[in-house]
Amino acid sequence: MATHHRQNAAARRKVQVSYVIRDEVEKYNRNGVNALQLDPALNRLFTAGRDSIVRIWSVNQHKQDSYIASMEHHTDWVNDIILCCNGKTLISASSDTTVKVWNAHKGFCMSTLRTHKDYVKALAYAKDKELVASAGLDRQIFLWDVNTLTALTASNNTVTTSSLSGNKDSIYSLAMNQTGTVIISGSTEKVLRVWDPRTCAKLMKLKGHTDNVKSLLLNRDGTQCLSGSSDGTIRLWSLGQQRCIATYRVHDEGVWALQVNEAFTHIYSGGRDRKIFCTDLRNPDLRVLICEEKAPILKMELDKSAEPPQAIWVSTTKSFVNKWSLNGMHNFRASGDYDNDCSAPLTPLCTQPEQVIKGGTSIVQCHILNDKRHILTKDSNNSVAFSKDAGFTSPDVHGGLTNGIHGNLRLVSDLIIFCVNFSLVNGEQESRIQKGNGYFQVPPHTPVIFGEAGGRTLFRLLCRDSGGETESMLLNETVPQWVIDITVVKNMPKFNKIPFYLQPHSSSGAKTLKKDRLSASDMLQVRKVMEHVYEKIINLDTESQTTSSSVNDKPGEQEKEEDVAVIAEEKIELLCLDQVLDPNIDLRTVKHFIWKSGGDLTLHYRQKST
Amino acid sequence: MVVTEVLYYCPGFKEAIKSLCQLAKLNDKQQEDGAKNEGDTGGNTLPVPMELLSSFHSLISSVEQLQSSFLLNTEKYSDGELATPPRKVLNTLRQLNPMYEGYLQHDAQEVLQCILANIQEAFDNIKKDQTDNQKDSTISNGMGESTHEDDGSSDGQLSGKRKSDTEAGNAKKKPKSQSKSKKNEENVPMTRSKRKSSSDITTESSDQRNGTEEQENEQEKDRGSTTEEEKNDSTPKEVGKRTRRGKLGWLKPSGKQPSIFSKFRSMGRITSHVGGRGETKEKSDCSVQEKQEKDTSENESRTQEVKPSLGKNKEQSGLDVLKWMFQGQLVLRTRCLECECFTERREDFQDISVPVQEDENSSSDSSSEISPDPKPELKTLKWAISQFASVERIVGQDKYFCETCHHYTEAERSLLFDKTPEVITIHLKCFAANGSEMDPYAGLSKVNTPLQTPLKLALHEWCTQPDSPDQSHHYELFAVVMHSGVTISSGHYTTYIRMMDLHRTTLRLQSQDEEQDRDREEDMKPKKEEVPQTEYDDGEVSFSLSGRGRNVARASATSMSSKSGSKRCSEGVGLLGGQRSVTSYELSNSSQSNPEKASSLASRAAGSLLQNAVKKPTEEEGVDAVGDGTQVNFDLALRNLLDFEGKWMLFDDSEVRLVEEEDFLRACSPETCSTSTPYLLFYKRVSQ
Repeated sequence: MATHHRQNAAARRKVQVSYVIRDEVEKYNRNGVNALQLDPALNRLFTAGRDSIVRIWSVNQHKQDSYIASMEHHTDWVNDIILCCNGKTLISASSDTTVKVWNAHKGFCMSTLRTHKDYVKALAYAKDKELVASAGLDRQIFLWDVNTLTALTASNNTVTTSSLSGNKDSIYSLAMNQTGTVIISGSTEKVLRVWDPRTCAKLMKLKGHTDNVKSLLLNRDGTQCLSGSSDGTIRLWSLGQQRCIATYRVHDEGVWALQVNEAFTHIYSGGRDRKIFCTDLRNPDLRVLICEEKAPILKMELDKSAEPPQAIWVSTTKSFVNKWSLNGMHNFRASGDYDNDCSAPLTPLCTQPEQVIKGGTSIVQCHILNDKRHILTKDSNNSVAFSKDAGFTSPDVHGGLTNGIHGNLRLVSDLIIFCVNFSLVNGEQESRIQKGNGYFQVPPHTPVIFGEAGGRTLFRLLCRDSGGETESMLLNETVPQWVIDITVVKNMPKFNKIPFYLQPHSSSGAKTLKKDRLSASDMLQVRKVMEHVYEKIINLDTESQTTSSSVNDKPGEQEKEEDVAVIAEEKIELLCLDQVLDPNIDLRTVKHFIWKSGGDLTLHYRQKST
Repeated sequence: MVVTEVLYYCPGFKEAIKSLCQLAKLNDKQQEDGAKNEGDTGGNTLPVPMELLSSFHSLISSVEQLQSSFLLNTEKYSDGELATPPRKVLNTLRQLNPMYEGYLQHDAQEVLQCILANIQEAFDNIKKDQTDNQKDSTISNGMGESTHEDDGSSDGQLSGKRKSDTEAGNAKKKPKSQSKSKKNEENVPMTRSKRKSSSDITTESSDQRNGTEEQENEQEKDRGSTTEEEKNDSTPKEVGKRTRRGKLGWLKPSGKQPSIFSKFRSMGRITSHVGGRGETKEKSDCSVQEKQEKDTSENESRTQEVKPSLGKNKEQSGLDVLKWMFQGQLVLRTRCLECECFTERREDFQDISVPVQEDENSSSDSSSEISPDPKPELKTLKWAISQFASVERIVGQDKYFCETCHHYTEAERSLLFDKTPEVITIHLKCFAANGSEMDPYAGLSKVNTPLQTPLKLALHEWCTQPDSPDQSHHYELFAVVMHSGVTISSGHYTTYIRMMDLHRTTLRLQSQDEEQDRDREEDMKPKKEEVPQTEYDDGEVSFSLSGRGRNVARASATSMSSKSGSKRCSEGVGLLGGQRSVTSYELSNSSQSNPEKASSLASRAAGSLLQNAVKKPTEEEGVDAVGDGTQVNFDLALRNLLDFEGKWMLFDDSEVRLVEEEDFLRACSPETCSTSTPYLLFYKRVSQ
C-alpha cells in the first residue's frame, strides 16, 4: 500500500480523471438547493443545486411535471445564480471555482470564467447596467459586463474584468443596487465592505455583526442595506450615515436568506432555524411567521409580480423546493393582527406549501466492495443500493483510487466516483473516448471530469461527445500521460509492489525473526514465496551442514531450481490468517480475498507435518 | 522554585495538600497492612509522586511554621545549604525528573506543571487506593482504622531502619486492634506526660483515645529494641499521629458539606467564636484542623461514629480539590461555516500559554485595516488570551470535510473555556526559539515585550457559558512570577504575592502548632545532633509555652541548616522567641528602606505571636500560662497582620519585602525598561 500512497502523493497536483454514475436524465434535485431565480415572463424557476446541476422548472401550477431542462456543466455545488438580460442569460457561480454564462432559454453553457481561485459563493446584479459581480472564498470580487460575456466566442474568448480587492476574509454574500452605483460584500470578517463599482473605489466599512454575513440586499438607489448574519440578527444600514440604523432579532439562529419587497418596507427572512418571518422594517414588532420548513433555509425568492408579493419560493438543504402563499399575510396586514407577543409560540401563517417541486435522494454514504468493482451506497432515504459494475478495475493496481469516499460524496448527485478511470480512453491515437473497451463499459451519457487532484476542474465532457473536434483537442491537452500510457501505448501499468511480512507460523515454535518488511510484485504467485521461504529461511538453518556439498552442485542448477519449487511445496505451506494458501494464487488475491483489511499483509509459513 | 511560594498562597492549596497527604498515608497504610497480612513484605517504598506529595506537605507545613516568623522564605535555588523543606521537595523532584539534577535554573512553568502533574498523579493513586480499600475500611472497625493511621504516620517519614521497626509493629498491631477493649484499661505514661496538659483538661476523656494511646504505647514497646534516641524521637511522632487523626476527624464530616473549601470559607467567618463549644466548635475544629489534644479525642469519637458511613464521595471531595483548583476544561469547537454545525473536543488544562507578541506572519497579515481601531502598540492580557483562544479558520486548499454538508467547506476552530478553575495560571510565552539553534534551552531567547497585566480579569467572552450563574468568570490577580534575565536558562525568578485572607491564615497558623510537631520531627531527623531533643521536650512541659518553644526549636533548626543562606534569615529566626521576635525583626528590617516597615515588622512579629495568641481562645478553659502581654500582642498581631490584607509582597529568594501596589504595577508594566518581566500570572476566582 505504501507504494501506492507514494504514487498518489506524487500525483497530488496532477490530473485526476473521474466520472459520474447517473441516469441519463436527472429530473430531480438530488441535494440541497443553494439558489433560486424566477423568470416571471416565462413562468420559470431556476434552481442551483448542490448536485452541480442548474434545473429549469415550469411553475405553471397546472402542469403535471414541472421539470423542463437541466443545465449541466458544473462539477461541484452551484452556489448562486443570476438571471439577467430579461431572462435570456443565466450566470452561475460554483464551488468548482468557475462562473458560467448560460443561455437560459436553451439551457446551454456559453462560456466559463475561471478567474476565481476558490469556491465562488455569491453573485450580484445591477439590472440597469447589465453588470454582474462575483465573489468567493478567494476574497476576490470580479465585475463582469454581461453583454461582453454573452458576446464571447471560442475565438474571442478574452474578457477584461475589474476586481475589487481589500477583503480580508472569505466572502459569503454580495449585493449590488439596481443602478450599479454601490456594491457591498459580507464575509467572515463580520464587516460589510462597500465599493463603488464604477470607480472600484472603497467607500466604507460597516461594523456591527458578530459573525459571518450570509445575506445582503440593497435598495434601488443604494442608500440602504439589509444584512443577515450567522449571529442571528438582521441589520438595516444607512449608507449615507455609514451606520446601522436598526437591528432585528427575529431568528433563533443564523439568518441565511433575505428577500425584500419592491418598496423596501417588509423583509422576508429565513435561516438555520427553518422559520420564515416577514418583518415590517419600520415597526419590527409587526412580524409574521410565515411558515416553518423541514430543513435550514438556504435561499428564498419572492414572487414580485404583484405588490404586495403573493408567494415566496423557498429552498433548503433538502432537495425539494416549496412555494408558500403569502395571501394570508395580506389579511393579517389588513386586520393588524400581528404576533407581537414574543413569548407565546407563534403559529405559522401557512402549514402547507402551495406548490412543491419534488426532490430526489442523494447518496450519503458509500462503500467500495473488496472486488473493487461494486459499490454499496446509502442514500438520504436510508435505502441501501448495490451498484452494478462500477468499473473499478482494481484501481489499486493501476494507480490508485484517488479520492475514495470523499470524492464520492463530494458531488452527491448520483454516484460520483473520483476514480482513476483510464479505461474510458480507448487506445486510438485521437484519444477518442468510446463506450467500453477491454475493461468495462459506461453509458454514453456519463460525464467524465478531468481535474487537478483535490482542486479545480479542468475539463468535463460526456463520453459520447469525446469524438467531437473541440473535445478531441481539449482531451489531447488535458488527458494525463498515464492515461495515454495505459490506453494508447497499451503499456500495462507498472507492476505494483506489495509489501508484506513473512513470519514463521506460531505452531512451528520457531522464534519470530525480526520483522523484515518484504516487497514483491503483487502478481507474484504464492508458490514463489514458498520457494523463497524454503531457500532463504529453512535452508539457511541447515546451510552450515550442507555448505560443502552445495558448492559442487553447479552443473545441475537448472534442474535444481525446479526441484526447489517442488520440494518447497512438498515441505512447507504458507498461511494467511490461518488459512492455507493455494500456491497458484497471487499476492494481490491473497490481499483482497483473504487478508481483506488495510495494513501490510502478513504471511506465515510452516513446515508441513508429514 | 518560586512557584512553591505561589502554590502556598493559592487559596486552599495548603489544606488540599494536607488532607490529601493524610489520605495518602491512610491508604498507603491500609494497603501495606493488607499486604502484610498476606505475608507480602514488598511495597515499602512510596511511589515517587506520593513522595512528592508528602514532601510538599512537609514543605507547606514548615513554611507555615516559618510564617510565624512572618514568611521568612528560605527557599532558594542555588544554595546548597538550604533549609530542609525545599530541599526535600527538590530531591523528590529530581527523582521524578533527572532534568532537575543540580541547581540549575529551570523554567518556572515547567516546574509548576511538574509539581502539579505529580501531585495529581498522587491524587489519582490515592483515589484508586481509596476505591480499592473501600471495602476494607468499611469492614474494619474504628480501631482498625486508627491503627492504620498510626502506621501511616511512621511510614514515608521514617528512614529504612525505622521502617523495619514499624513493620514489626504493624504485624503485632493488627491483631491487637481486634481485641481493643482489653487494652483500654492500660495506660502507659510515656505519651501521657505530653497529653496531660491537654487531654486532662477535657472533661470527656474517651475510651477511644485511651485505646489509641495504649496502642501507641504498644508500638513503643515493640520498638523496645531500638535505641533510646529513637524512642525519644517517637514521642513527637505520637503527636504527629494525633494530628493526623484530628485531621481525619475534620475531613470526614466535611463530606457532608458541599466541599472542603466552602467550609474553609465559612471557617473564616467563625473565627471569633472558635472558643465556643457545641456545633460551632465542632465545625471549626473540623475545618480549622485545630489539633488540640482535647479535641482529638472528641474528633476521634466522632470519627468512629462516622466511619461506618464513610462514603467514597467524602474522600473524593478531598481528592478532586487540586483539579477543582487548577484544572479547567477547554473546548475545541470546529464549526462548519456552511451549515454552522459544530463538533467539539474537550480537554483539560492546568495553565494557558499566551503569546506576548504577535507572530511574524500574522502581524504582516493583519494590517491595521482588519482591526477596528489602529492597534495599540501595547499588547494587553486580553489581547493575549484572545490570541490563545483565537478563532482559526480552516480555509483555502485544505478545507474541512463537513459530515452534515457532505462537502468540503470552510470551518472555524475556536478554543473556549468550558470549565474555569479557581486559580487560573497564565503562562506568558516570553521565550522565543531561535530557529537555527537546536539546543532546547540555550536557543530560547527572551522576549522583553511585556503585556499589560491587569489586576482583574474577566473570561466571559471565551467561555461556553458566559453567564453561568454558578460560575463567576471574574478573576483577580494574586501572584506573579517574574523572570529577570535574558534567556530561559539564566536569570532570576522572583514572585509577587498579594496577601489575602489573612484572617484565615491566622487560623491555619494555630493549627500549625500541631502540625509542627511532626514536621519538626521530620526536619530534626537529619540533624538530630544539631538540635538537642530536650529542647522541645521542655517545650511540652507547659503547653502554653510549648508552641513558642517548639517554634524556637524549629526556627533555630531551620536557621542552622540555612546558616550560610541569607543573613537576615538566620538572624531573624535564630533570635526568634516570643516578644523578643519583635526586636529581632526590627534588626533585620532596619536594613531595608521600606516605608511600610513599621507595619511589616510588627506583623512579622505578629506572625510568631499568633501562634500563642490564637491558641488562647481555643484553650480558653484551662490555659493560664499565656501572659497578658501575649494577649495584647495577639490583638496587635492580628490587627497588624490584617493590615497586610491586599498588600503585595515580593519574594526574592530568602528576602521578603512589602511592595506598594503602585510599585508592583510599575514592575509589571510594559513601560518599565527592565529585563524583569512577568512570566507566570496567577488569578483566582472572585465571586461577583
